[in-house]
Amino acid sequence: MALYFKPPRGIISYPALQNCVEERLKFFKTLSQTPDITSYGIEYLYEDSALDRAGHFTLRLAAVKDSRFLPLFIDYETRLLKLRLNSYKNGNSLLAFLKNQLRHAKECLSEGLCSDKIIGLFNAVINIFAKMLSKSYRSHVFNETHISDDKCKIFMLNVPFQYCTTLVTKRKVNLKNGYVQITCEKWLDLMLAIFYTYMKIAVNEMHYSKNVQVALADERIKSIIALVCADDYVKVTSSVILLSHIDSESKFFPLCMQNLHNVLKKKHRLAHEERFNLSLFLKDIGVSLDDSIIYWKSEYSKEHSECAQCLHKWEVNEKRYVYSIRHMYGLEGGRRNYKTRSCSYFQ
Amino acid sequence: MGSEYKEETLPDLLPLYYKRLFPYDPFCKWLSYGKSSYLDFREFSFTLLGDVYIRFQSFNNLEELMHEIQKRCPVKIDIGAVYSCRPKDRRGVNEFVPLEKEIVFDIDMTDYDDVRICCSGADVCSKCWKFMIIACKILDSALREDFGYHNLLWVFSGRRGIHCWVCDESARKLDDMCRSAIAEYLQLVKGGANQSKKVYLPGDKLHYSIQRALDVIEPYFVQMIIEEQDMLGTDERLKNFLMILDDDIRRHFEEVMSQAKTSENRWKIFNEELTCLSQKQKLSKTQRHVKEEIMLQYAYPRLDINVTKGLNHLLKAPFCVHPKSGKISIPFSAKAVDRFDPHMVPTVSLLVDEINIYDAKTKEQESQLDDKNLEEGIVSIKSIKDYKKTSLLKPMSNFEEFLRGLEKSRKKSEDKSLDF
Repeated sequence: MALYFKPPRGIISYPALQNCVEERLKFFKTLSQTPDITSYGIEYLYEDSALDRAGHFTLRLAAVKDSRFLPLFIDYETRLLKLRLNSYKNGNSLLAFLKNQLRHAKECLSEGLCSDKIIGLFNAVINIFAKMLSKSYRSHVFNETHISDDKCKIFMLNVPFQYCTTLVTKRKVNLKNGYVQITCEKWLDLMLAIFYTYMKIAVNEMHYSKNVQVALADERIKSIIALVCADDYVKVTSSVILLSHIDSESKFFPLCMQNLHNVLKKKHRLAHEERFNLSLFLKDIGVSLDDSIIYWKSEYSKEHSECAQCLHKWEVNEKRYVYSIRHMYGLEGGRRNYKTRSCSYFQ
Repeated sequence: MGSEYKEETLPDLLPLYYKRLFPYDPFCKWLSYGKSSYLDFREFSFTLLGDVYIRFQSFNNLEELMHEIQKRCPVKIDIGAVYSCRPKDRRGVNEFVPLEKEIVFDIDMTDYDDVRICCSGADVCSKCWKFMIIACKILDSALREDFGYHNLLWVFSGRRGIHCWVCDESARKLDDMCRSAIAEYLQLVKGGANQSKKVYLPGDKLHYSIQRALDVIEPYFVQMIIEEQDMLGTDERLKNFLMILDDDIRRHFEEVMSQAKTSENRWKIFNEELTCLSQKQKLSKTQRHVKEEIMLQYAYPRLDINVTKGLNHLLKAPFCVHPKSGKISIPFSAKAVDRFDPHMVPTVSLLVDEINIYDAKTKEQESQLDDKNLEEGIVSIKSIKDYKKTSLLKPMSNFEEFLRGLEKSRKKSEDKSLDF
C-alpha cells in the first residue's frame, strides 16, 4: 500500500514520466470497467516504487489544473489502494508497508515544511499506525482467523472525525464527542478514509504553492497533463438541443430532471435549488443561453398554478433571473464553467 | 402583547433600537472570543432600506461597529467569516481568504409546508412550532454527544425558524470538507417538495444517532402529526403518505387504510398491517424500516444544507429586527425550548414603548426625590443597560449564559495541553 506522503526523488526522463502517467490512466480506465487487476504496465504501478509515485504526483498536478478531474482522481487512487490492501496474502506485507508509511510521515514532519493541517493529520496517522503495529493489535486484528463482524470490540481506535469524514457521512461508524470509534474490522475503511482526507488537503494546498505554479507553466508538464484532459473523463457535449425539442427530449432525461421539467410545466414554478439544478442540466445537454432564457421566461410569465400569492414573476424579477442564467453559462460574476452536479450528489 | 408592529414604522423605530437597545457590548464580547484583534477580521454585511446590500464591512472595535450601525440603521445585519485580512482592506491584498467561522444551521418552517396544514408560508403557530422544538432537541443532542461541541447558540430567526451557531474553537476552524461531513451526517430528509420519498434507511441496523432522533420524535408523533396535522385525514394526504411506500406493498395499504376515514384510524390500521406483514416475513430487506422512514420524513429536522457547508456563508446576526414581523432575533435556551413561544417574542415597537414608559417613570420618580436621594438615583439608573429594562431581559440572560460558557471553555483549553 502506498499513501504517497513523499514524492519521488531524483531525475526522470520525459518519455519515462509520460509512460508513468499514460499507464496509470490506462489502469484507471480498466479499473472502472472491471474490478480485477490486469497486467497493464505493471512496472509503473509497482507499489510505492519511484515510477508509481511519479505517476501519482504528476496526476496531482493535473487535478490542480482541472478541478473536475480531482474527484475522479481521488476515487481511482482510493480504489487502487483498496485493491492493494485486499491483495495482501498475509499480515506481514501489510505491516511492512504500515511501517514504511509511518516512517515517511515522521520524515515529512521533521523536514518542517508541512502546513498546520498536514501536521495534524500526520500526527494522527503516526498515532494510529503505531497502535496498529503494536503486538497485541496486530496479533488480534491481522490474524487470519479474526472474524470480520461488528461484534468484535476488543480493540477500538478513537480517531478525530476531521480525519475520516467519509466514514462520518456514510454513518458507518459511531461518533462520540468528536471521535469516530473504529472497531477492529473497520481498519481498512479507516485507511481509505484517512487517505481521502490526506488527498483533499494535500491537493487543495497545492493551489497556493509557487512551485506548483512553476511546474504547471512548464511546457513538458503541460503536454503530459494534456493526456488527462484528452481522455473522456468528462464528456463535453458538442450537440445542441433546441428549445422546441426540450419537451420531446425530456423523455430521455434522467428521472430526477424529467420530474423537475414536468413539475415546472405543471406548476410554472420551481424552488431555488431545483431551478438551479435544472438550469445547469439543460445547459450541459446543449441548450443555448437564449433558448434557456426563453424556456424559463415562458414558465415564469404564467401564473403559479397552485399559489395565488406567488411573488416570483418574470416581469418583476426578469433582471435577476436572466443574470443568474447568464452566470451559469459563465458570462457574469466568476465567469466559470459551472457543471451539472453528479448523480451521487443528488442521492 | 403591547402595541402592534407596523412595517411602515420601521424606519422610525430602527434608529431608536440601535441607539438604546441593540446590545453592542455582549455582541462584541461574543465575536471577539477573548482575543484582542479577532473582531477586526470578521466580515459583516448590511442590508439597508431600499434593498441596498453592502458586503465586506469590518470594524476594529466596538465603537466603530456601534457608530456604523447607528449611522446606517441596517434593516438586516449578516455575520460572515473571519478572513486573512481586514475585509474592508481586502483590495490590493494578495491573499484574501476566509479562515474561520462558526458552524451554522438554518431551519425554516417553509420547508415543512408539505407536512403541516395549520399554517403555510410565513405563518407559524404553536402547533407547527413543535417541528422546531423537535429540530432543536435532535440537533442539540447530536452536536453535543456525537461531535463534542458545547458552545451552542440557538436563536429565533425572527419569523418562522431557528438558527444554531456552533461556536467552539475547533468548530470555527473546520474546513469545507468537515462542514459538509457534519451537514451530511445530520441530514436525513433529502429532496424538495417534488420528491415523494425523502428518507432512506438502508442496512439492517439503525445508526444510534438515528435511533436517538426517533426517540425524540416518538412521544410527539401521534398527537402532533397524526392528529394535529391530520396527516392521513384527507384522500390527498393519504395519497402522499402512500407514495412513500414501495410499489409492491402500496396497493395493499391503500386498500386497507381507505376503509377507515380518520387520520388516527388509518394510522392504527397502518401499524397493524405493517406488524402483520413483518411477522409473515413479507417485507423485503429495504422495507424493514419503512415506519421509521415515515416518521423521520414527517418530523426530522429539515436543514438547508448549503447554509452549513460553506465556510464563507453569511447568516443573519442575532438581535436583528425582522422587517416583516418586527420581532427581534432573540437567543433562546435549548433546554427550555418546549416553553418557547414565537408569539411572545418582543417586537421592536414593544421594546421602544417599554423604554419610553421606563423613561417617563424615571422622570416622575426623579422629580419626587429630594437632592440627596436624587444623586444616588442617577448613579444607579445609569448603571443599568437599557435593554435590561425591557422584554429583552430574559433573552439577554440566555445570551450571557452562553457567553459564560464560552469563557469557561476558553479557560479550560488554556489549562489543558492539547493532545490527541
